[in-house]
Amino acid sequence: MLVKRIVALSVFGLLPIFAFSQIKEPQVQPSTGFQPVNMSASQPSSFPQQNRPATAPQYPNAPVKMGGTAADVITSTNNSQTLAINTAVAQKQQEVQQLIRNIQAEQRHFGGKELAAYNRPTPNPERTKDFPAALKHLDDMLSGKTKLSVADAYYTVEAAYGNPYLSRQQYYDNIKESVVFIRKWMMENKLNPKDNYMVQYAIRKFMSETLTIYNGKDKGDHGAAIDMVSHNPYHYDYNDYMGEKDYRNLFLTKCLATGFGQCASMPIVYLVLAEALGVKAYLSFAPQHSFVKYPDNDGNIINYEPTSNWEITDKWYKDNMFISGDAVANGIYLDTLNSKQVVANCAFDLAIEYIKVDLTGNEDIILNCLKVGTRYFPKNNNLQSLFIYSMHLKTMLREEMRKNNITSLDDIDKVPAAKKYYQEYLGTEAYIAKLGYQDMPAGMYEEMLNQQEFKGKIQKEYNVSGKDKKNLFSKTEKDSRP
Amino acid sequence: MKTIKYAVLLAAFLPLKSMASADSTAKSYFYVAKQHLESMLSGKEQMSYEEAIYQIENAWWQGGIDKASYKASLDAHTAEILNFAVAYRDSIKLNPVRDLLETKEQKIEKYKKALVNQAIYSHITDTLVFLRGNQLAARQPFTYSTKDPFGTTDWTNTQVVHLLNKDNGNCFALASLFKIFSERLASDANLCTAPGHIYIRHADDKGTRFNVELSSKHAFPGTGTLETLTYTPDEATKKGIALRELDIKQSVALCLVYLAKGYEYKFGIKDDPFMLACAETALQYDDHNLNAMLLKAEVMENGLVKQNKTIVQLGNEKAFQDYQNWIGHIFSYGYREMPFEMKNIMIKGWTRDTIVTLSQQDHTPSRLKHATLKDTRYAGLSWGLFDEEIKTKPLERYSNTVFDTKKMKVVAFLKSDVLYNQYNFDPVVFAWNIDPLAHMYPSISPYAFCANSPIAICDLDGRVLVFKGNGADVDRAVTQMQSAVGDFYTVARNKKGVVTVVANPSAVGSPSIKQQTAAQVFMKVADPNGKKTTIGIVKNSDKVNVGNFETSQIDIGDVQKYDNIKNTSGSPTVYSGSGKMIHEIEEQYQKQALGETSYPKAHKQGILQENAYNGSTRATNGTGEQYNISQLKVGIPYEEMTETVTASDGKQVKVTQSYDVTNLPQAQQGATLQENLNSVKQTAP
Repeated sequence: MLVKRIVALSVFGLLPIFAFSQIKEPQVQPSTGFQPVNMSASQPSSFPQQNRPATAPQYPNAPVKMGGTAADVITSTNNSQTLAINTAVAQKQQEVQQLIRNIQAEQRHFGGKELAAYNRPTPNPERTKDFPAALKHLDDMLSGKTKLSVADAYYTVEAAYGNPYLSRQQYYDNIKESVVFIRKWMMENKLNPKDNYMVQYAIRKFMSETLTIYNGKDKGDHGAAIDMVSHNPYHYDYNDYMGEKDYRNLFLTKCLATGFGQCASMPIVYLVLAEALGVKAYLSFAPQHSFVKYPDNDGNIINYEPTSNWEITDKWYKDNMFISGDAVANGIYLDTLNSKQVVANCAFDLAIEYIKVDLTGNEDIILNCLKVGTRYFPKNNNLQSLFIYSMHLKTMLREEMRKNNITSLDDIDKVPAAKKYYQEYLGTEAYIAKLGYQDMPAGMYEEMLNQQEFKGKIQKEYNVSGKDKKNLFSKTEKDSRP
Repeated sequence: MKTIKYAVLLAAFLPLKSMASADSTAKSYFYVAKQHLESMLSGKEQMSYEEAIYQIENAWWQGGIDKASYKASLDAHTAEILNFAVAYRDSIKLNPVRDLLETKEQKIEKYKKALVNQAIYSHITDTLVFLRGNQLAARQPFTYSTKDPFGTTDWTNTQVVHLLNKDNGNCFALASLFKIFSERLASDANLCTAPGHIYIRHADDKGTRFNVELSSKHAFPGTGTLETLTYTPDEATKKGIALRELDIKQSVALCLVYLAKGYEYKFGIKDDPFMLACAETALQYDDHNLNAMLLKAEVMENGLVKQNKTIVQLGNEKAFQDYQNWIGHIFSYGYREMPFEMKNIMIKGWTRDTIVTLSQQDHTPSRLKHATLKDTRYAGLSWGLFDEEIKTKPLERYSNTVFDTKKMKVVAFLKSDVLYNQYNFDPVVFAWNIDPLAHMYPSISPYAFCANSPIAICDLDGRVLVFKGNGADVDRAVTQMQSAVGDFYTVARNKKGVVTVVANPSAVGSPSIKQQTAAQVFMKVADPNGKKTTIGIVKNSDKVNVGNFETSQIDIGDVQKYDNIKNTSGSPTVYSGSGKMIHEIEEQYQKQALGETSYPKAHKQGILQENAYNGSTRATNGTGEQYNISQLKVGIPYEEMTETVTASDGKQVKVTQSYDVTNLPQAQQGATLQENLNSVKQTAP
């Protein structure tokens, strides 16, 4: 304090706030930085000497908040009014953050979005009557009681959901017709049907290009004629590719019926054709995505992306879909699922369908689906099954919370039943994270969604409906006479 | 031949004492270091990556690294990193709301760790610009040793000590330094390895893990990029020998490999049993360590090649068969050595030559052998510049060995290829500077949560702070400052009275706003690299009333009285001893360091800082301090000064300071009172 002069009444008022000291003509100088590590003088002669004096560590100042000075920081907190405004802004920011968090918490693996499973008012036995039989059929296939067939498994699961785009007969006719077509096409193009690589190639051509075969026919008195049969390729349907409006938009039957599918159904078209043609093909997963892996004649595995007709390297998927080394090592992504595992995975598809249609909260069927399928994933690395299980635990937890009138997360531990489910839920989520699963960074995910949305808009612009049933095969009779 | 070899092997395992007496050459330092690392791995010594690095580097320097100054240097860097992290705290993120998956505490932990990792990253890679009075000063980041990426020309390029002393090092040194800081600050960043490359991996504030490159600016390459540029087949990643995150045990085991390599480069021996022992011990604790696998292969290969026999002659020897099996083992894990052309490109770096060479290559596979039909279109990350499929060839080359991959047999030994600049390309150690290829999401980074600030303008109007006076009084002043900053900083003074304020990296938790405020003021004044602020410390002097602007003194006795305020107001106490200390120090700093001659202006700054610390505010309506000296008489001289202050609860209170006047000069303008502060009380207005 100032040494006081004797004055009658000194008044020391506050002076107006000035800006901090002005910066004049800064020139950048090298900082002296840190003191080096002391190296002893006795070095072998062939190495450079290091002679540094030992000094006490000194180091430059603590950095202060960027762009401001301590005084500025203090000035802003000085004013109680400013404080109040800051608090209000801070509160608003918090609310926005919470909103974003809530939205992000809803995003999950495709088909597995956080459903309103916990709001299950009325039962719907009509919709779910075929589920137990469907599951049994899958189980029988897996245990060897009936013939293992990917085509059979998918139809069973999709029919159980109800109102499939194709009847069973139509479905199998379609596959048969495709197989006949492909074989004919290979023959007409002189491709060796015993060369597995060429069969795989033909499947890719069939799915991605319009192919034409020429059936020579003897018409008796009218002479020879040529029946041209063309097959149109399959396309990606950008509208409702997540199956939110109509879950059947994810189905193989819808893709075969309309010629439009998405990343869940189009790889299965390939698998079903490969199975019918007698060549090996695998299903492979990526974040919210699936595609095909097939072997060449030397046993090297090659990737095929049916949604866009590209053979894309694993490394591309790793970078562009944010897949970590751990995820690959644990086999949650980019693995090769053989036919048995594909059928086992169908059990999980069935579980998700069940969640979509059932409103009774009967978790038994879901748990049975998990039991049937997880047996064929000995490393317990099928993400779909893990997400379904996690969701189940969350459902049970919410039920306990409702029964016991628990309104705060902090009170869960008070009820043993709730605590049990909660601990297991946390454990399952931790296990999923340990396997290498991680949410895509927000910017990346948004970017992907935007791209999809953009293409969807274009599709709408061109009035291309992916929902109209059509026959991809078209026949034209051509008279060979001049 | 055999017996001697085994005897030497045995010797390597003999206890240290007999070794030292038998062979006190430079090699013994390496044996000692190996023992320490083994103790750590077996749990006998506490595991510490910092200690492991010290051991291996000190061994190479033959005990020449002064441990105290090594630690002191790291202390100084760590303190600055911590300051950086504290300064960038976002109070909103420190107050999250809990959700189903995470408690509030868990979210805060994640955020804090991410913040510290960001601070470490900035410290290592960014140029930090400081403001010193009217001048800008820059601290340059650590840089990558581009001319010697493997350290095979000068092994010191692989060393943390080289980074600390010369600001330069290769990817192993840089990653190790990051790991050391992370270990000290418990921020969960881990080392990750790929063939020939090492990098860091840590989480952002949400827990999403990212790969962090330290040898290029703002590079966070994806898994695919890292694989492509290190020639890592998908199988290798799948089998867990590449692109793997190491825990502390695996990191220490890796140091054994570097110890062996240091040994090799120091003594020029390529097949010493010591090196083999290092490899085997490393594999014992981490059987997926590719570097150890390759080290073991290298030692075995050199031992065989030295014999100058043909494959046929070697065929029946156990050493040869062991080696053959070992190469088969490495092969079955999916490791393939980088082809010669690619090695040359990587060594040369991105020059015109290499870019032209690259662009002329096309690794797009051609599968279909057909006259008219075209291959299905192919997309890779590098669009054919690099081989991304890495198919197994019938003959694969590992170092100087040719291996038949169908028969799983070694079929030939070759001479080393000579690479660009005769550079020694050592596949056992780490080198590469990964320049990420153009990928779709270049803006993705683990530091997005704190706005990726590349340059920190740090306002450091710092000058050094010196206290002069009676030793006991000076110590009291230091103690007062220490109480203001809590455990998070250490305030100390040397014999000359120079006061230092150093962040305490091992403090648990985080400083409060009050403590941060105090620290900020003290540190800016106490910067040792600038002009002095010298303050005389006295106790209960009647010439100094808490502080004296003109004589640059602080009365520590008066200051302490403000920690004993009698408060009957019902509101929180508005003043404190620490607040007064901060006020006075700020005033003197304004005067001496910044040249402020106007007392009111300096006093104002002092008040602002004091208020920020105390959380109270003096009323701004002009009444301020009021003096009642009308009752001064000879015989019973006392004086009161009253102020109206707004407490932190928003209510106004009255503070009354009572003084004992010791010298009452004649009442005239300009005469000076001499008095001692007696007591302070706080009442409702």
